[in-house]
Amino acid sequence: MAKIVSIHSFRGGTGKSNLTANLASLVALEGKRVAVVDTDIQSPGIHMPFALAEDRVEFALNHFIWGECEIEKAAYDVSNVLPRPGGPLHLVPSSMKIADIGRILKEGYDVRLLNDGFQALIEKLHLDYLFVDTHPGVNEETLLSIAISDTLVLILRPDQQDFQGTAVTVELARKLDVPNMMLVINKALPSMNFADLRAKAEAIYRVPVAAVLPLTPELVQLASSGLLSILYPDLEASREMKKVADHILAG
Amino acid sequence: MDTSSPGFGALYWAYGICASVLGAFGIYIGSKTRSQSLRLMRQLQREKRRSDQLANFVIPIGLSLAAETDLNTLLEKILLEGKALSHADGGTLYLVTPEKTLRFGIVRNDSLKIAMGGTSGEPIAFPPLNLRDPVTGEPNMKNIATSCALDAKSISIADAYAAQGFDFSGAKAFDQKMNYRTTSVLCVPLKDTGDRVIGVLQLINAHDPENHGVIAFDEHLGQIIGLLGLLAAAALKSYLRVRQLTEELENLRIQIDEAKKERQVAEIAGSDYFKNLQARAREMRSKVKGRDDT
Repeated sequence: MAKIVSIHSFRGGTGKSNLTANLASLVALEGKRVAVVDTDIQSPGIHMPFALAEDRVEFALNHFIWGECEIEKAAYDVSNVLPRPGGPLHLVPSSMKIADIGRILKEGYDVRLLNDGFQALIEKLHLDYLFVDTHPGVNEETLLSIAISDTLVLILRPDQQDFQGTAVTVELARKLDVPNMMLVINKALPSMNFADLRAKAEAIYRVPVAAVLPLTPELVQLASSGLLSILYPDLEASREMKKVADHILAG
Repeated sequence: MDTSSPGFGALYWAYGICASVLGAFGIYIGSKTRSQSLRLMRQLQREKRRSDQLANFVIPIGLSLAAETDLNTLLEKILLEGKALSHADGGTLYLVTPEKTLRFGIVRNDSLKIAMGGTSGEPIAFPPLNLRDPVTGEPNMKNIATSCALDAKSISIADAYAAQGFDFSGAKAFDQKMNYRTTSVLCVPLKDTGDRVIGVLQLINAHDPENHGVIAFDEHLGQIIGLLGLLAAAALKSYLRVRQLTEELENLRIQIDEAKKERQVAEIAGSDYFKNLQARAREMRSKVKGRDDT
């Protein structure tokens, strides 16, 4: 039975797509069959860490939503980012073309199609794990992704706006009976007391903190053009990401 | 005096040129103006000394202070550099507290071998000085350090025991107990970039570097210490800001506006879309659970 893992944040710029790409790759490295769907249709970005060139993308999630192709037609094998053989790793990108993004924004779409697409993808690619990179905030599409998730990873930065928004998302996810929920605090400054931050977050949200990721110069340098956990596996941030991947595998 | 130093060479050169020019000028206009020439020469000599001290002491000290990241070491450096510049026997660095007092940050006295605060590890036994009367709120202008902080101006006293307007009874009691004699006193306010006083550097008993006798802090040294005070205050301010930020980060609070959260959650959870989704999610999960159980 495939597991759906949604990675979500209340606000943009939290490092959600980067974390999703790293977690999917780490799980694939454990020999699991993995696919990632970029449902952030309004601002797609996860193709960057997977080094999927725009000109390679003939069909995207948008085309599936418009009924122009089957979902598996929009799935691209990105296993070449893995440093050693693992399970197959696929990415269903959202279209990076401005005209396609504009059309989605203008016309909207029936979010129920996403669920159909996820189920079809699981079946066609015989997936063990389907990772969903969501759009930040709370809307019909993100609520659907949360509702159908087996595991929900909420990523936030240590600032007041993220704290407040995450509290709302946690409460909604509880009402949707998500079986496994975990927090990842990203971009923590090295001077912060990580253990204290973790304890405070766990006490406030009553959700386990799977990792506190320090703000890493190497990640800033990569500028989303690679996978930190693969390129710099010995960094603290990479080791923490591995812990999150282990939580997902154990869930 | 080290006459081989470049500073002395330049000074001697400048002095020589001026002496020649002014000397010749003096011969020309007569002996009445010779004294004026000598005054000018002395002024030139003082200015040269001031610029040498700026270049050779104050600027390097400022750079060294700016690089300091430990408060105790920073306070110690400020005090020790001030003492060294003025050949003072003792000194105290006070910090202005939010409670409007002057707290003893560090105390040193060479001849009494006193070292408290700073890197000495010895606690300071003296209570803080009130900047204002706790009852009446009147400014405490009797104490030289508090007066310096309140007026934000340097104060130089040649002999504490003969000083008018300040109460040195505390110093006298200390002297009697320690068999000491507080004579010359210099207080320099440490101001931040916004001209706010954040501390006071107080130096005691300047010594003549040649005969080692106690002398008054001269006006010229007061200016140099004032400049050091500006650099020290900038370093101190920067340090305190970094420390405040670090503490804020270390003690980061997670605050949730519960009322706002409840309102937002109710708004979303009350929508038909959410209720429908909730029902479908429950149905889906019970199916999965049923499948897993069998």
